Amino acid sequence: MKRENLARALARPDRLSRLEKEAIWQRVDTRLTAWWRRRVVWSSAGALAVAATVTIVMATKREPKETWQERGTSAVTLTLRCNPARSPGDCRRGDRLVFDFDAERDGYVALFARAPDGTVLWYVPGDGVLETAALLDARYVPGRYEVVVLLSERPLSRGDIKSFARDGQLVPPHDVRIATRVFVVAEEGP
Amino acid sequence: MTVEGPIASAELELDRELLAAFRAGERSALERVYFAFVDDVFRLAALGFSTPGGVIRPALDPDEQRTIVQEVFVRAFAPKARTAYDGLRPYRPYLLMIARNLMVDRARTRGAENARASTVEVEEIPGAAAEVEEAEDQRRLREAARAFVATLDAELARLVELRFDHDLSQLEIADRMHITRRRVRTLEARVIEGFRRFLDRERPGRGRRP
Repeated sequence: MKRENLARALARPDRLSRLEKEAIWQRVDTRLTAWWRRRVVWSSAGALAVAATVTIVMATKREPKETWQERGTSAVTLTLRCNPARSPGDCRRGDRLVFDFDAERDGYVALFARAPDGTVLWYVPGDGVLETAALLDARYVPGRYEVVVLLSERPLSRGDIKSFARDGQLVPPHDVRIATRVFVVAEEGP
Repeated sequence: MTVEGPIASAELELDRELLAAFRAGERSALERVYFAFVDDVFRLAALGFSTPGGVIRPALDPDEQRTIVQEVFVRAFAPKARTAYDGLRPYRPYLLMIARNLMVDRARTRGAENARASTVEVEEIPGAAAEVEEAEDQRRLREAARAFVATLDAELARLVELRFDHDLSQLEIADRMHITRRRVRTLEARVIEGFRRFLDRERPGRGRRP
């Protein structure tokens, strides 16, 4: 039985459970922010070299074994936070951008961002990663960055991800979970 | 622009900053509006409504209910619909109009004879006191949930109370229970998986559906 149906039974009658509301919101949000519906311009090797200099801090904690898992219904969520005092995604140069990643099952993670000029910054082709962080140094020009996280049951290479592009859209296989978030880099300040 | 404020309130016609962020499609504004009105949309989907042209029957299947709610907000939060909202009248009737149109469209697609209405001027919307009808298997599932909750220890019972009765987010629960969000997630997973096992035990031979 679906997780959301179990949650409904545990909630008050006559309404959706909070768990269902959050799951629906995730799906709505994903559809609304699906930037790959627009033209994707994949980066040059030069842009990737810039990405390689980004400081990455990774933790390799995994979900506890008792975490319920069911193929096909898992969601992946991502929150971007630079400063607890500010809203998620509100960043300044010099901040340490934390990727708060969560999923309802274990898997392999790919994480990258699209810079304001359209280039792609690759962060993580790793597995079981729950938290990463990037130092937003001088190489991060002010502007809007779109982060994409993909969760899959096998490691995805950059080539795999690029192969998901179809007519300017990123269309991964159905067993690859995907979420997008935005962060905005401003000049250094409070 | 950063939009702050209680998530249960989203009076777009009164809050110009929120309205501007909403029209701009800022995620925090959309999320706030979603959580403020998702219960209203659900009730419309689950209760149905009448029009001069007929009755739009309620969606009883939970999957269909969730699909309707999702599609209503996808439609309502699309750029065209966001900018079409004038910000002068309350947002709730505007959103419910979108919901009604979507439900009529779905009924027409299904070929339902009761969806012949050429307009969706609503004659009657169920009042707040109306009870959502549940399918028989859902009623049995709810009864089983009550029995299952009675078996939980104090920590899990508290989680169920806050998460499923008080409708709180994981972050809010972590704050109330003075535990980490990860711990909340773990407890929630235990509750859901425990309930699944409880059902398997209570109904032997029923099997575990994919």
